[in-house]
Amino acid sequence: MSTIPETAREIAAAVRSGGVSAVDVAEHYLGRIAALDAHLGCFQDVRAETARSMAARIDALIARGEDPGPLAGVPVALKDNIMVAGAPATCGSRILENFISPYDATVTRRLTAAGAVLLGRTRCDEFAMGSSTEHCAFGVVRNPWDPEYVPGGSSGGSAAAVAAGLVPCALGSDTGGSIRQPAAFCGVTGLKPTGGRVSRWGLVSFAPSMDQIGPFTRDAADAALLLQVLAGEDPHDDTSAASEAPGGMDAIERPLDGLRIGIPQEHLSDNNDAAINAAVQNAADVYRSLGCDVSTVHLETTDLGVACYCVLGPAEASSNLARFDGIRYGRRAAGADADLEQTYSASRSEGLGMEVRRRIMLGTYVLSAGYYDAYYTRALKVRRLIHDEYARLFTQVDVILGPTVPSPPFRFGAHSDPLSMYLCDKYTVTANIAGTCGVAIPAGTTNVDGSSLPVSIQLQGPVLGEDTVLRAAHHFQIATAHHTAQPPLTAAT
Amino acid sequence: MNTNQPLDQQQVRHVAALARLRLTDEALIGLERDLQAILRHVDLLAEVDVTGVEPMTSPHGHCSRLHTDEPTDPLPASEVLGIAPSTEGDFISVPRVLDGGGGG
Repeated sequence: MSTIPETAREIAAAVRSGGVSAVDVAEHYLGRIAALDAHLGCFQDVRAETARSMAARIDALIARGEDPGPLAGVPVALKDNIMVAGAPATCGSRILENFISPYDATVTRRLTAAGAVLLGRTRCDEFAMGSSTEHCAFGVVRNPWDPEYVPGGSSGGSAAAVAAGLVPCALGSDTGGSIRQPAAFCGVTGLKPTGGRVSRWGLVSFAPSMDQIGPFTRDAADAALLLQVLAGEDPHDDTSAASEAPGGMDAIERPLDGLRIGIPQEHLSDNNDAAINAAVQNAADVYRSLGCDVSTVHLETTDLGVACYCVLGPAEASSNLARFDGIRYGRRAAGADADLEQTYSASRSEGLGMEVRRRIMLGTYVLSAGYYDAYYTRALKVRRLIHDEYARLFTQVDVILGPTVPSPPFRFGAHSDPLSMYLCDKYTVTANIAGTCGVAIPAGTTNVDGSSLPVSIQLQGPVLGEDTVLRAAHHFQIATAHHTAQPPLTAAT
Repeated sequence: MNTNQPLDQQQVRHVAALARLRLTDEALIGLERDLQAILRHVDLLAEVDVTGVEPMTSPHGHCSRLHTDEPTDPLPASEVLGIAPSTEGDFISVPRVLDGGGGG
C-alpha cells in the first residue's frame, strides 16, 4: 500500500492525480480508528460502509476523468451536533440518543460536493456546553497527549481525532471557544470563522448569535482549504455572509512584511501558566523576525467576556432548547402520556444532563420578569462595548496575538466548579461576543507532572479577517515546527 | 445599577418550573449554589458604565438580511413523522391537553 499523506491538501492532490486511491485513504484512517479509538473515545459513530462507498465513488469519478473537487478523497469527521441525513446527531445528549437527522447541514452538503469522505461523528459536550468533553452522555474523550487529561471542549472528539491522526481534518462548532480551546489542548490548528462566514443550517443551535462552525486541521494551510469549501451565503441561513470568498492558499502565502500585530497586555495575565505567556513572547519574536510590527495593545473589556457570556449564552440556550420537550422529536419520557405538562418536564428531566440544565436555569432566570433588564439588557450593552473595543483595535493592528487558553490541559474532574470551567474560555469568548474570527495554533509543549502537553497561541482578526489570521498562522508554521509535533500515543503505533 | 440580590431556593424552584425541569431537592440545592456563584461573577457587568450604550443582540449586522417571502419545499411528512416519538396516522400524537392536563 502506498504511503498516505497527512494533510488534507496533499491527500486531495494525491487522489486527484491518481497517486493514491480514495478507498486506500479511507481504509488507512478507518484502520487507525479501529486501532486507537476504543481507548480515546473520539467517535460517537463511525460510518465505515458509507465512507467506503463515498470513497469508491470518488475513485470512479477519477477513473472517468472527472474532478471530484478540492477535497477529493479527504476523510472528514463531523462533530455530533452537525446533521448528516440518515445518520444520528446525538449532540452528546440522552434526549437525542435515537434521533436520526432528516436532512444534511449545509456544511455537510458543501463537504460532499467538494469530494470529501465522511468518516463519522465525534463526541462533544452535551449540546456543545462545556470545555472538557466530560459532559457527554455517552462517554468521555481522552487527550491523545496523555489519556489522564481532558481534550478540551466542547468539540473534544474532533480535536482529539485530528491530533491522534484518526482523521486529517474535522469540523467543530465554537460558541465561546469550543473549537479553539480543544485545538489548544490537543495541539492542532482550530479556526473559529467570523460569525456568518459559514452557514449554521443543520447545526443544532446553542446560542445562534455566537455559534459558528469551523475546521480542525493539522495546519493553517489546510484550514484555509477547508474554509474555502465551507464559507459562503446560504439561503437557509439569513445570517450567512454574502461576502467575497476567502482566498485560500494564494491569500495566506503572501509575505507578512509590515503586518501589524498587537499583544493585549490584559492577555498576559500573571494568572496564566508561565509556559503560555512564554509561548506568546516567543511567537512575538518569530513575528518580528518575519518583518511584522509587533506592539503591546489593550483590550480592557477582556475580563468582562465570561460574565457577558454567562448571561447571553444561557439566555439563548434556554430559548433554543425549549424545543426539546418530548413532542416532535427526541426522547419522550415513558409513562408520561397522561398530561402534557408532565410530558414536557419528565422528558426534559430524563433527557438533559446537569450542565445543560444549569445553563437552561441560568438563562431562564436572566430572561425572567424583573431580571431581564438587570442581566440580559445589560449584557447586551456590554457586548456592544466589547464589539466596539475590538473594532477600534482593528483600526490600529491587523492581528491580535495572545494565548488561546490560560492553562495547559487539565485532568478529568479538575474543574468540578462550573464557573472555574467557564473561565477557561476567557481569551476565546470575546470573539464570539463580538462576532470576529480567531485561530488557535500549536506553539510548543510544556511538562506537567512528567507529561508533555500542548501549548497554544491565538491569532484573532476582524470581521471577515480569516485570510489575514490564517496568513499569520501559516507563516508561523513555515518558520517553526510546533504544528508537526505528534502525541506520543500515536507516534508509537 | 446595584449589585443584584442573590437568588434563593424559592426562586430556583420557580425558575425550574418555568424551564419545565423536574429536579430533585439535592439538585436544586446544588443549582442554587452554582447559580449564585455564577451570578456573583456576572455582577462584574453591574460595575460597567453603560450610559447611552445601545444593546447589541447580535454581531451579525454585516450579514443579516430578510429572506424572500416565498414558499420552499418542506421536509416530506414521512421524514418528519419518522423522527416523532409517537404518531397516529399522519399526525404526531400528544397527551390530552384540555381535559385533565396541566393548564397548557
